Amino acid sequence: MTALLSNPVLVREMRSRMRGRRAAVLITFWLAFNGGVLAVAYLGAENIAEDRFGFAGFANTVAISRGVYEWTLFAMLLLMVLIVPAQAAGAIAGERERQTLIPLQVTLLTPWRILLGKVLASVVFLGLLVVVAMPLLAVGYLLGGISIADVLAGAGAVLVSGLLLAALCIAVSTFVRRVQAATVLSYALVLALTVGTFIAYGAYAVVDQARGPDRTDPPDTLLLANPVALVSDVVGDFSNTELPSPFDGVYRLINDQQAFDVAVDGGAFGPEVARRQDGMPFWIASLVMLTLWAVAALGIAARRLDTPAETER
Amino acid sequence: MTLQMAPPTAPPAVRLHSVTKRYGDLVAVDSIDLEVPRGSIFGLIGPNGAGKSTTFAMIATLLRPTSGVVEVLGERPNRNAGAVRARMGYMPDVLGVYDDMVVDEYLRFFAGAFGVPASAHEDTIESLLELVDLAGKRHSEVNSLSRGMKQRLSLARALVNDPDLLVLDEPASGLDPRARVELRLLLSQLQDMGKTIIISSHILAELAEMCSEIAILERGRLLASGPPTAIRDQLGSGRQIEARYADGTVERFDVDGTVGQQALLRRLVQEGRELIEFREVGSGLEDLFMRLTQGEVQ
Repeated sequence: MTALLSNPVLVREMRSRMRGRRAAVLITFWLAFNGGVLAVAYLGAENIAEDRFGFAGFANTVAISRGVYEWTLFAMLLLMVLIVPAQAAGAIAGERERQTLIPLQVTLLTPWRILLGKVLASVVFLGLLVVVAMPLLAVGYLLGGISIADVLAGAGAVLVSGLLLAALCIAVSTFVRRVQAATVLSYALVLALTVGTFIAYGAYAVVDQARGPDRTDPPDTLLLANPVALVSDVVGDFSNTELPSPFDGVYRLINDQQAFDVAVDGGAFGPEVARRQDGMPFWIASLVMLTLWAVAALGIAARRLDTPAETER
Repeated sequence: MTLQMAPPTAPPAVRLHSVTKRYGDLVAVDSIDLEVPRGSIFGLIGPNGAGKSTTFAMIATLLRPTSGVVEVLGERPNRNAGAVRARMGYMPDVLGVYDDMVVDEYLRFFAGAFGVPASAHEDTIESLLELVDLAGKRHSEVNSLSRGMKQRLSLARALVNDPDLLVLDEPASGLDPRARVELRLLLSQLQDMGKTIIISSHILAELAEMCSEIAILERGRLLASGPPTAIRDQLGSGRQIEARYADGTVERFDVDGTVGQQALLRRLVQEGRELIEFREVGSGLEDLFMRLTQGEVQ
């Protein structure tokens, strides 16, 4: 652990990220955006409760809290998906652009240590974003509808999704010379994972539907690499939320598949966890798949950074 | 009778044996044989595209030769790059500094990257900054430094692991005359400290002053290598001598080597010519370079 934290690349990256106004502006924007979503969600849920029951008393705060929690978490995930490529794409391409990669390559740092330093810096920074947003997520807990475990699971899922996307973007960054190109490619990759997989899933369903009534559902593997599906499965489903849930659609998509044997965890008020036929919850399968991809991508990136090489990279 | 053993000759700091580097059809370095003696300042000279930077990159453990053997400080970079890097400092032809860091942080970062123990960072950085005359800039941001200062900072970075071998690719490019003189003095100082220095530069007069040995490259081929005087003798060409007299007239003579030069001087004195200047012209490194190369690039 000490060796990990004493990685000079990590120290340098953290200094570079936290120095100047950029980090402060980003954290302020992050909190303002997520706080704004929380406020809108709260007011929206309260209005819906009032319309339905004529008042927004204590009994309904449980339902309100769930909506507030889910929408805040969704805002965090959305922003994370937008922030990660911008933060991670310059990891190696930026070193190349500044012409600082060669001095780094002739030190005793191995390519893996360089990449690990970059990934850890992303973890620390994304972790900071999640930690500073915890009070916002905890509003749901204070309202009484969700547990601390829910808050931690949701925040953890967002953080891990962000981390795995960051690792993939850092790997992409080793293959291009310009930060601009790396950023475009990273956004394309993140878009492909978050939106492209849904499109592929939908396209499969449409094609399948056209075949006739004896259709089978699209394979769940199409959504395994989707961080939104991962977080949706961790968040689970509550039927008694006042607001329409941002994760509900995806969650039902996962659960409604024939391949899934839905189990109910946590009793009547607990989240349902979609299980695959082999018994592995969807979110674990998704986590394993994204982790394998990230590790493989970093492995290829490390090979690319390895010197002496055949050509200058 | 006592047997006297001859002192063992130190193996060269760098040895290239039949080294070739190809990029597809392009031959960047063509079967070069080269030895850089330990403790020398070795100049690598050649026009743009001659293969200097490629040669440096192979020595600096960045590039793998297509064929041939590269040995640096007794190790082969292909097999044990780490061992070479631990004892080598490389300054590429680009500055490559982190503008957003403070000078002290920058050197600490590279000290950490070379595995210098944290307890030694303070002393290492202090002595390096003294050496490169940047002690007063220790807490300045790198982006506030002039180009010459950044160049010196890059040199300090290359020295952070106290290397035995320094590989400096165009370290004087972009420097003003004063900074060049300072750099030259600094390199002499480093040589006195026992370091082997391999350097390339476009300013040949500078290399002539500091290099004990040179190698001239063109189109990836090694045209000549060794001490400049030996190369000149190898070429077998005469020297041109310029004599200036008290009446203001100037005369040029072609002579063969040092002996011819001495004979000419003796003759002029015997003839009673009122000499006020007698000097060799056009046979420095630039002249050698111009005679050997045709300015051809790949």
